[in-house]
Amino acid sequence: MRIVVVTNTTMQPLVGLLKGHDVLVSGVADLVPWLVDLAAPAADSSTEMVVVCPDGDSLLSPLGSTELLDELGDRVEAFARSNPAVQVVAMTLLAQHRSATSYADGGDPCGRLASRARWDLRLAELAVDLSNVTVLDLRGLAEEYGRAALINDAYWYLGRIRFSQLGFQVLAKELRRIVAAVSSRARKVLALDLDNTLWGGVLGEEGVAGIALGDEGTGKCFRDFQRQILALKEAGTILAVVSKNDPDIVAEALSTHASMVLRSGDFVDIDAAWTNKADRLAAMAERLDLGLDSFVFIDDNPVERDLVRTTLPAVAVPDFPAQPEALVDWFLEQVVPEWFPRSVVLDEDRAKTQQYRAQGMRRRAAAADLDAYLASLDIRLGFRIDDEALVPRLAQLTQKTNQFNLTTERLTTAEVQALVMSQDHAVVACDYADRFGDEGTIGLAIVDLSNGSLTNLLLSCRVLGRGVEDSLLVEVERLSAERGWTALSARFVPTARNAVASSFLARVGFRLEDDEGVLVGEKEIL
Amino acid sequence: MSVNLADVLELLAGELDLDDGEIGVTSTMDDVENWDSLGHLRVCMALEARYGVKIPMERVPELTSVPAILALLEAD
Repeated sequence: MRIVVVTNTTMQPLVGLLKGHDVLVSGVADLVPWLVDLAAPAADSSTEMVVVCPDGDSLLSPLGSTELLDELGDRVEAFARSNPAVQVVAMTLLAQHRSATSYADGGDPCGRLASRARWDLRLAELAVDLSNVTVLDLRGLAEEYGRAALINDAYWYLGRIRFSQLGFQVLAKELRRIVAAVSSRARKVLALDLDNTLWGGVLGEEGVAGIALGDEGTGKCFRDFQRQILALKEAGTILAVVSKNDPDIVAEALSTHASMVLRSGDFVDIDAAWTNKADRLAAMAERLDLGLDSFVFIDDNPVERDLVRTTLPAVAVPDFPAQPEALVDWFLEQVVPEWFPRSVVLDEDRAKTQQYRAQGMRRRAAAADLDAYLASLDIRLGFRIDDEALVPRLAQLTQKTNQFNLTTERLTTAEVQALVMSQDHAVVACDYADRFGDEGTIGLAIVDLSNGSLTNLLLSCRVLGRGVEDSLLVEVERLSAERGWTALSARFVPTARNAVASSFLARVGFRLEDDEGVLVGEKEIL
Repeated sequence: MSVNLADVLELLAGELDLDDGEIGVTSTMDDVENWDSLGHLRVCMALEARYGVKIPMERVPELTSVPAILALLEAD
């Protein structure tokens, strides 16, 4: 990524720490000029990110005015508004918090406290307003690491280098995370152990009432940790359980423990068993149709962590804090920004859990016996005949369905409309729902009642393999019989992609012949 | 402290972005093109971090050669 750093300190050491990126750093005196003119010299059209790093101590100088800070804010805002394709990363101000006026500073509208707060608030409001603005909370980092550790004094005076080696490393790490966030490279799944991870103690030994989870002491550590995990889930990360436990007692704990924050419905997959966790994570990835590189695995047990790290190197396995009181800080400082960085939270993100739950449950069920699986799905089909309201969706299905499609004849909305209105044709729309969710209209059949032939039958690949096509054909036969037909004819036109539909007609009783590559035939209607 | 010469040269090469052989035991700031004033400050910062020493501010401008750096570290 091409990154331009606009600053009034020496930030060149950052370049070597952001290897893999093309980083351009402004000179010490260039802060405002560069922002004024970023569109021209500093940023050619390939610039993807502009990092604004003003030096707090310079801008809050006791004898100066804070006008420069206001002007800088105007420039950042104008640049962000007129360059929506460029990600602007603006830093909060890091500065000595005390001033020569000591406690009177807070009462001075141009004082350190007020000026700094104004700048920070302005950035926050800009980030609310503009999706291409991200705030890098430099002062927050100083709280995390200690200001003295992040800056140095001697090299500031020798060469305007404000940050220490650690300071530059921390900044580079933070920028890498922000790049990952804006490139949507966050991992998707947080897979969690239970005992001594989501609560204190061992469920199988202490029982549901005996685990440490509540509003005091150790129990509160775990409860607060669960709250943070729930917040991560609400932002779009999906949660799963991989625990060595008896599934019944896990279900009981998740549904009945009064202080449990995370309930069964918050997880897309709850895998409680006694077998190897690496194997189970791999199976879970398959069920959810996600790569193992989408997974982060948290487990307090170093043996389990080591097993997953060695067997499944694609899974991220962070270390786990030794003390439960460190859980929340550890999670927020080391796990979330590193593996789940995001620069924006959309409504679609909040719906992720439900989506993956349905998918995972269908696949899990599919792994068992097929008939039992179909029965367990509790499939409900609805057929609507010549329904004008469905015309756009039906036309879309003829356009988009490639696999289970007997003729691959594409129809426009007007053509479908004409068929719906025609007395000689029946257009049968098929709706699908099962106990995991409602898929809506997923298939259609068109039958020519003037000659008893099936013009086409197609089905979205989402519901293939569940016998829906058989039921749809039964409906077609019923309509044909009503018109007095005792046989139904049909044809199959092979394409590069519809092999899955090729055996269907023969299987349901059509006697087919090859007519120059097209299979044609008929079956009796009983 | 006793200092490993190879370590110091590796640190210098890393901070100044040098190729193999561009710096040796007798090199000075004048001999090495990349050893400019900013590079020099970075070398000093890196030495402090690597060897846990604090270089007094007024001594920074004097450490303009490999021998000077070694002398400082060994005296510590």
